[in-house]
Amino acid sequence: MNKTAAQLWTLLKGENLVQGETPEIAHADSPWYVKLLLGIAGWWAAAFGLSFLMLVFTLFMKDAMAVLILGSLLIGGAFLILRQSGQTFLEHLALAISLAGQVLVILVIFNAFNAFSAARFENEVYWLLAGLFQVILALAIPNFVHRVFCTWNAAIFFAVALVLFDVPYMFSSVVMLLMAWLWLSEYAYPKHIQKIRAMAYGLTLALVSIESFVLFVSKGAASSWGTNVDAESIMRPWMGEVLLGCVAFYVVWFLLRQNKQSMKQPLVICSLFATLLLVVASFEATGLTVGMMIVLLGFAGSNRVLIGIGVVSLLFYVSAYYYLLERTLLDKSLTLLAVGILLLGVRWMMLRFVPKGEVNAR
Amino acid sequence: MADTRFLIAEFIKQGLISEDKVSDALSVTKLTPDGKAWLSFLDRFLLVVGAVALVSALTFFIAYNWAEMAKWAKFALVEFFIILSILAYWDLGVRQLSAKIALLVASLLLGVLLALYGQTYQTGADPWQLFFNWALLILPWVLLAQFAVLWIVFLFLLNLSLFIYVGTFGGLFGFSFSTELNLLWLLFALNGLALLVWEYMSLSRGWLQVTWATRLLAFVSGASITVLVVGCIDSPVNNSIFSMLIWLNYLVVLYIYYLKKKPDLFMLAGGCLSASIVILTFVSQYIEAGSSLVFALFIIALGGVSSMWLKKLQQEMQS
Repeated sequence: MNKTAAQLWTLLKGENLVQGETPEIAHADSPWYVKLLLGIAGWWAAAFGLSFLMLVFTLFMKDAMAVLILGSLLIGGAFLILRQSGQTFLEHLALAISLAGQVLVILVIFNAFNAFSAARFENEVYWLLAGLFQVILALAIPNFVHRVFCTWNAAIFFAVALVLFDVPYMFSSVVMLLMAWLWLSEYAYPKHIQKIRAMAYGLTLALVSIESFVLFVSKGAASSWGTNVDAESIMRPWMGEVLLGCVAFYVVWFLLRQNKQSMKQPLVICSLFATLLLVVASFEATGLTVGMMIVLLGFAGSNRVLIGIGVVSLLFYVSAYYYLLERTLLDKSLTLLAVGILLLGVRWMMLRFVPKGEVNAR
Repeated sequence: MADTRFLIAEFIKQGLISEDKVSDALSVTKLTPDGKAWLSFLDRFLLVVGAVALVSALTFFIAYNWAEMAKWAKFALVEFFIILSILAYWDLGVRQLSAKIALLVASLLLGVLLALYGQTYQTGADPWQLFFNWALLILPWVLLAQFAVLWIVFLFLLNLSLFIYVGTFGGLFGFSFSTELNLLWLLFALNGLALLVWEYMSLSRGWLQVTWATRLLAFVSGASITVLVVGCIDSPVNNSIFSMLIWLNYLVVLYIYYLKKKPDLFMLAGGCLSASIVILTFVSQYIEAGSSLVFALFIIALGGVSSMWLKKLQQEMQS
């Protein structure tokens, strides 16, 4: 048994939260670099193996049913490997096989397995079906990385479907609400902790992707495409930001209540005011609300990976703000100056009016 | 914290912590921050985000006015911030992290000053000289700061100047087998030597015991020698045997030091990756193009063996 488990058990036992001897933990979590090494090997092996399979099955690739059966067999095979094996290497091999199977099934959904046509990808119903397919896989296949990947895909597919339904910009707030709920309920369902974490990571990555897309469409390099989207819809980017802001306020309020903070305390007022500042700034510099929420949820769960994703996304959105053409650099400079001064002002007020001894400990 | 999150989740999943005690367990193990931790977090978050907003505002403002600024104004601005950073280094207490970061900022701004000088006066210097002189000029600060990050910046500048020099002149002191080979050998030598010296010096200097830095140096030197060996297998040249011998020695030293003396699974995983790449390159010379299934089987075999060995080592290291 490893030392960390023993130390943790002793700590919990000292607080009368557990009883008995230190349990054996069957599968120690491998460090990220070992997973990466084995992931690279698994994916390479799958790529070479699949190229062999594609050569062998070329004759069958023109028939939808054959492609669907092949895709399903590949996914089924991956499911069996993942259910049985605890080996990281086989896990990644199975992931790559599943990916190939998913690509085949999605090609059948879009009816694009024997001839590529852009028009087929403009049908919102196909995107919805593809999204539902990914949701089923995310729930069914017992593997962390697979669930992250499928959840990420599902969210992206649903977002595209909504854009094609002329409801753009709204989905990021739905994704953020779901993401926040999952992270805040991480331990609420003991048998499903890993499933919840995987789906939460998938939604986090999807949220960053969708918000980046909104950034480029509404204000960046793809703004001409965005103009076409706006012409066919009554939705506007600021509406999406308003909904994101509402979700942000809800999360901050929830965390404050979880920490038993009275709504009249200076800390609460400072927190809500800082949230308001960043939400307002996000109308100009798209993505700040999303980055802030990810960092906040990461800290709430002592999740350094999540904090890292939040910090990187915040840096990305601030950098992207530099390149956006909607405003001059002078206007952006003044906006950031105002935000910086106000945030530091809020910090000063918080440190001035919140004596550390009066902050409620859990 | 990653281990604690994993372990607590396992304890909860196995029903070892009852549902009504989960919240307390998360508090006791500090997975859920208490009020003081939240206050500290908000303090740092508002400080960092506010500071980044102000620095960004300044950067945007300078960028807006850059074309219209006079030469002397541009130099004055950069030199002002260098001096401000050095004053901050003194004021914040030279051993404090914030002071070392201030010196790091000064070191980076010195590079900006050199670039501005080269751009304004068109001295005709080669690009590699900019980075080499930058590294030389910041060396006193690097020695003074006792800050691992600054040492890595210094080594990065040396690597970059070497890269550009070899790209321009093909080799050092007139020797030139081929530009790519020379560059790889020089990068391997520089970073391998840096790793050796770093590990030796870290035995008596706590501030050098920074795993990410040694891993980075090992990655660069390991990648260089691996690419050299792969290139030599692919297109054999006169010094193929020499490359192989050096590579084998490198792996042996890596194994002995990072398994027996200073266990580090990252280094050993890197060694596995290097060995796998070289073996696969060797195998690819003898199987037909298009035998993707055979190649896949080799990758599976090598991946499986690496996986089992690394997992066994991890269990031994943790027990």
